Amino acid sequence: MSNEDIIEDKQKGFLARFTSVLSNNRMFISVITILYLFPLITRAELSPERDLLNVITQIMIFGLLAMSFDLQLGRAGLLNFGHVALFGVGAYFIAFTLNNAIFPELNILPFPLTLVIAMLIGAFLGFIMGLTTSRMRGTAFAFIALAIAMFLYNFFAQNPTLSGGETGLRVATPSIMTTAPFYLFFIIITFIILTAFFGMVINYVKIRTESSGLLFFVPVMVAFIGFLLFFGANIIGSVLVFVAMLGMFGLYWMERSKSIRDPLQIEEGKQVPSSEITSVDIISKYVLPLSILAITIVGFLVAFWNNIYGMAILWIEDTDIFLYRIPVMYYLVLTCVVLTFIFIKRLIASPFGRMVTAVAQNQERAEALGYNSYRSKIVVVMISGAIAALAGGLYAPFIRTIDPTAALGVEISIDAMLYTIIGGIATILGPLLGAGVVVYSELNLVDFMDSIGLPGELWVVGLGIIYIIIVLFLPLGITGSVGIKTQSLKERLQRIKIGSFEFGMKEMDYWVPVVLGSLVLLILLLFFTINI
Amino acid sequence: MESVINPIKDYFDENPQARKILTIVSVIAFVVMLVALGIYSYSWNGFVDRTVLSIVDGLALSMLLFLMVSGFFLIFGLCDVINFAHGAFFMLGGFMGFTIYLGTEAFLLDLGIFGTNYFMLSIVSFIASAAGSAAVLAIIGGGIEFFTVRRLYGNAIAQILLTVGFMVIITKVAEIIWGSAVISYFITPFSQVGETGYFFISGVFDFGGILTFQVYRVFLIFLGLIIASIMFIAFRKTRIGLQIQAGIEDTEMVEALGTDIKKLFTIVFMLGAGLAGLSGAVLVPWIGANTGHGLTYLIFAFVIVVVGGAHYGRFEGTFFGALIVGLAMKFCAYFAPGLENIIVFIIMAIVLVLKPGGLTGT
Repeated sequence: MSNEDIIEDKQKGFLARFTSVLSNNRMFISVITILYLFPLITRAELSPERDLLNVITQIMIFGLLAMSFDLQLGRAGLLNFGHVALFGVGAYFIAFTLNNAIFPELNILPFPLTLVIAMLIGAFLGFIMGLTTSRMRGTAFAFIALAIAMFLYNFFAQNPTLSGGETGLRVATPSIMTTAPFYLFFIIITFIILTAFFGMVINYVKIRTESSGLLFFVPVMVAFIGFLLFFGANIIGSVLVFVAMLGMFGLYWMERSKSIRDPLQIEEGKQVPSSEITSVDIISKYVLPLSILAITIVGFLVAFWNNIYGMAILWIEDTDIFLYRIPVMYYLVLTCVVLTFIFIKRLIASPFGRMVTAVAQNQERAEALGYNSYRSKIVVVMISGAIAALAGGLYAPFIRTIDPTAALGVEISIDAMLYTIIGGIATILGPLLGAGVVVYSELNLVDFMDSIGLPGELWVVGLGIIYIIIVLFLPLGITGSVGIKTQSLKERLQRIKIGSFEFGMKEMDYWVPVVLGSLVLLILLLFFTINI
Repeated sequence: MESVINPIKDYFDENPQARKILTIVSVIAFVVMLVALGIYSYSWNGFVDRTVLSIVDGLALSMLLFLMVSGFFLIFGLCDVINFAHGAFFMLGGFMGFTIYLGTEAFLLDLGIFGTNYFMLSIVSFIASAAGSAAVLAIIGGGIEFFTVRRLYGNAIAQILLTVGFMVIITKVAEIIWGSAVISYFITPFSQVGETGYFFISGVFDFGGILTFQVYRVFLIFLGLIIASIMFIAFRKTRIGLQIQAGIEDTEMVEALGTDIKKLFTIVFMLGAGLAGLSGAVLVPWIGANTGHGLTYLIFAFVIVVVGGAHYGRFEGTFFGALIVGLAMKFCAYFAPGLENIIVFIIMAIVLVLKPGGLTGT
């Protein structure tokens, strides 16, 4: 794509660019599609899927915390041991708004608004922390922030009227989370994302007309059909998706014959006179893709209709409202994580993000070039504080009872640091991945260790040793090391051949293993959860 | 031409600042005391008693903190490593002291050397526990430096991350062995094996009313002062002490002048960890050994180093810092119990606002 094309593309506006946005972020869309799709399998009853949803929610909350931690450590080079203070103020603010014993006047605020206010409070505390970066150079920032966190901890620990004393502060579930409209709102978002995903798949089928293209979209569709057969309540849904897959075959065949007829795709760019547009073109361009998309979405809707309807009807019947809590919490946290992910990604690519990295790498040089290093650090700590406060604000209604140790203990800072380092410093995905690995193993390995007669805390010792090995030998963590390893793997995949058949996996195909991998991972996790 | 070696006079001649700092220290302590009094004193009843008590307790705590923090400061000053594991070393030192004390006592009772002379038995066990704890921690600290920290010099954040890892490991291992932070282990006349029921300084000085001092705290003041002055003299008069002091000022120059700086770093790590072990062991008869101490005392160490002068600060800064923190904490404990844990951060905030480099820093 030449420079003019890019400029032209940018001028077209967001909706016109939508297809190219989709094609450029295939892997991201695949992963969030599967994450959004997963809660559709929850029924209006207690079931093991809910446990897994709960675990994933916890992982995502701590992942959010680790992401904000990494924004400071990985991008700005600021090691903040008082990070938990940012988390804790968010958690306590939300707790005060949801508990009618301490500040009843805060209870009238709607829950989404309180989350925004919590983020502002976190940003303000971050501002105060950021001010100290000028007072103490370099690593000393770590202990100033730690002192702020300890101050807050002691303040809450010594004021039982604020922190609820021994038993902690009870956090009620926000009333909006127990209503069907909020649930249905997220279901609608899920279907919008599903539409985007299958639009991306259809677009991909149209582009990938080599003979190996079949090998990539068919397994994905088969996997989705299998998923629907296994989890969906209605078999018609999977039949519809199967029909959509047949339609994709047709589309593939049409595009392929066109590309063989016109290998350089000269017609594509040319302004073809309207008299020459054949009916086949219209079918391959508009009718067939849109009908495939419609059939697929209807198929998913039909397959999960019983679950959705069962959940929605609960509200009308006004029974067992608590069943909404887990999926709605999951969706809320997931949405926050996705938005934060996009935000951080854009922030890092922005000129400001570049400036922050420059300041972290060589402050004197950045200052000599005219950047205000002090201000950039303050802004980074403020943004990070807002995200951490958001994580805290989501954590309070999630865990339902908070006390100073659970919300403000320094252990949480250390945990966030462990997630970040193990997952991979200065990568966006790393903190999320680290949180996933550590939290999931923590939840399961402690019991496992106890069952074989070893003290459960031994797992933390092992974690510490793994962590030290990573600090010493793999400074980029899991994500970074895997990223380096995959460079050679990518080249090998590109050249792979079976007989005379050229497989030739390209950059644009990587979403396929990602989709299959995350589906398999989720199903495996579900399987373990059911068994345990 | 005979010149009498007088380190203290030398010191004051070299550092006219020191007098000023001493004045500041006393002024701050006095102000803190007055503020605490103004807020929380209900009556003048027992004011003198409480002041005397808090001074004695505060001095004892200050000496203890000084012993611990000087190790932290040495590692920070010379190697430029913020040793987050220092609190864990201190905590482990407490448990080592406790274990070694009981072990030595049981062993000596079996041997029967001292017969029924429990006083000697107790003293020997106590010395053994302090020395043994310092030695064990010195080996651990030296090992950590030799095998891991050494690879990461110059990468400040990675060093912190590494030492945090050791903190987590040591704390968790201690929790597995000795239980969570709910339980504290003391050396008291009643905690011991056998029928001895004796600890060599377990008595109290009773002046009537609430004015009773535990002898151990008075003993701690003198012990701390003795060790502090030994260190003080050693740093001024021995070769290695001078090397360390010079290294804190300018590491590269010391290396260029032919000192094996790597060996020096290892020695300093051993010394720092050993001091943490020693102070942990002498803490046991008073505050007890507890797995939660790691983090608490780590933060005190931070505050003291910041107050005393973190970057390019002086060794003596930690002494003043420890005095301020210890006295302020104990004054608050007697006059304003609600402030006891918060006061250190308030002090740190005041110092950072008025003198960002700490009291002795630039």
